[in-house]
Amino acid sequence: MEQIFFYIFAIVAVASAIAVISVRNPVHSAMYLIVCFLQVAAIFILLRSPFLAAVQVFIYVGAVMVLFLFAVMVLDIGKESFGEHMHSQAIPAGITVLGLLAVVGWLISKGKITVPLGKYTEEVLTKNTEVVGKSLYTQFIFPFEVVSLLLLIALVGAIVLVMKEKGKGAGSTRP
Amino acid sequence: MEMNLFRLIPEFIMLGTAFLLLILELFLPKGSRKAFGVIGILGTVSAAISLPYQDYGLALAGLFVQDQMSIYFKWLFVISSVFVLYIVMLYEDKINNWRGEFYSIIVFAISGMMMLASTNDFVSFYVSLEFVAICLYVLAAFLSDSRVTSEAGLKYLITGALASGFLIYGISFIYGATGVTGFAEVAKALQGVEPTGFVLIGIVLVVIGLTFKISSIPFHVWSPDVYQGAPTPVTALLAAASKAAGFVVILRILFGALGPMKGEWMAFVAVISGITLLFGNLAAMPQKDLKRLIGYAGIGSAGYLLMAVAAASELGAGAIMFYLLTYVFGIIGTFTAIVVFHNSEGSDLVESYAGLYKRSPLLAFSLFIGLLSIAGFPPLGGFIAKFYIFMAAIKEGLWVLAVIGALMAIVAMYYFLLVIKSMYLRQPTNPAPIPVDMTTTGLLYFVNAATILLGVYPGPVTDLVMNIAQGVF
Repeated sequence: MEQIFFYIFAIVAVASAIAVISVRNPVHSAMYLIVCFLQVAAIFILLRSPFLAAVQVFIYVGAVMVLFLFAVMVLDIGKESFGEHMHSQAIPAGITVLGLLAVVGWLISKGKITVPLGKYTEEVLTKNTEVVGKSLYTQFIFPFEVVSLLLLIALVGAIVLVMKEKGKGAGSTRP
Repeated sequence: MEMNLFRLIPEFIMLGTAFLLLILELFLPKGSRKAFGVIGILGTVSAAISLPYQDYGLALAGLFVQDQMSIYFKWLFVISSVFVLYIVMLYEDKINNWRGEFYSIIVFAISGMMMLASTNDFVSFYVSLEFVAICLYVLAAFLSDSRVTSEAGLKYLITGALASGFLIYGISFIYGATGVTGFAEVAKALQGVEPTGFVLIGIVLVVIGLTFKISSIPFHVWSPDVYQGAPTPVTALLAAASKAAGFVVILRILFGALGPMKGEWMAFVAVISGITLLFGNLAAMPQKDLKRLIGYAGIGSAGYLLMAVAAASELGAGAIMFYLLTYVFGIIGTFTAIVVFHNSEGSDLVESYAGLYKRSPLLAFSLFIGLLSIAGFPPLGGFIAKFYIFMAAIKEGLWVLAVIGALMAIVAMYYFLLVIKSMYLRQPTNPAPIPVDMTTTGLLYFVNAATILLGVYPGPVTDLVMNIAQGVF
């Protein structure tokens, strides 16, 4: 039963991901991306990871995609300019993807893709959010703190790059 | 859960300096920008003073490690930081629309590289790498009025994001295969195990992702454009410190975490190295812009360093560390001269360097020493470094690679000697001398002396790096 659902979610996710890069209209593209993110959230739930699923929905589907749509709206990207560029790269990209698919498929058919079960069994994961929180604030405190620095610098950088100083025109154009 | 926060003192000092600079930007009057550079250099020097007092061990629940190798690379970053901050002070003179955050972001980037040198876990590695990357994206696009610079920043961002995708995907495969993320734990889990498809895909993706940072094939495309378009001090930072940061993580991940799988990645890295060597050096030949030329030469250098990685021996690891030290000095000397020259002439084209010897013997000599050291000319530091790399490659039987490397070293001599010929033998179009101030003169003498000294008396440093390399696997 679970497997059937997994395949449904996976197929819809892959199909919508392909749609993201093949439709011409950027707004439609963003909508397909939302569909893709929702499928991934559903797969997280199948993996007994409701916390990740919630985060996926809140952050990606909520915040990031709304920003995306705002940017598309404000920048007014025309349909034509969006589609033109893609198709010269379609053939090499297709070959690469099919090659990767062949390699992974070959490895699966040979039974080479098998991994041991991790330490997070179903019993541990009944308290999923608690497990995530604990490891985030104890074992993984270092990356957690570095992420805060990263967000700060992203914020500062974004402001610095778009800020124009008052009363000054274009400055030197020296590289 | 041992936190041992005292092992992070150098990082804390750097971060504190960066925050101080960020806040001071709000209070100091516009004319006092030089003060930012001085504060940044003082902060970096105090971080450097704390380095010899560090003891070795783990910190932050084992995700941070302080050992001989991390201290060595932190020295490299501190040296690059001091000189890059000084170059920024020279450079900003000629820019109207300048903002003090530049200094702060450079110090942030250096502190991130210091954390990168000490990471002991895939999660903290990835996050630190992204931290450094975001600082560098901002720096590369800093002069947002200039089209060339904005283009450089955008290209760097897009390639970087793609490479990060490869890296994190590969890390997830390795995590899937082993169930752990710590470098030491991964190495233990892979010890004596038959490589499964999972691990192989992970290794291939991680190696490809790492090539972005060191600008080798297949993620080399950004390098010439960004080197040419970014503000010159940022180019120096990318060439010196960022490349060193890329190789310290390669040493930690390929030699450390994936060391037991070296039979699987050696051939792959050797192929990448060979193609990178050929591409970087051959494409450098027709270049007209000195910064772009150094960008292509930097791809070639990544090829040499990868040759030592492909050797996968302790000798190779030591050779990488020594090469990076000579490379940092070569790059700093070259770029200081480029900035001084640009301030006076407003051009980076090779032909504008004609007759530089008649106009400023010191600048010409610094470029002479810096470029020839990067090319690997005997008796300079770069020659000894390349010699060790060839030795490491031949010892492991990588004959084909060594032959390609030797041929490409001749090509590198050729295109750098063209620049030097133009500086020394041709007549200047404008014979006015180029003034070089006292501090810059002293600094250039110091860097040139260091490069020559590393070539004629490398003993102490090579002993040190070979000693550090003992513990790399």
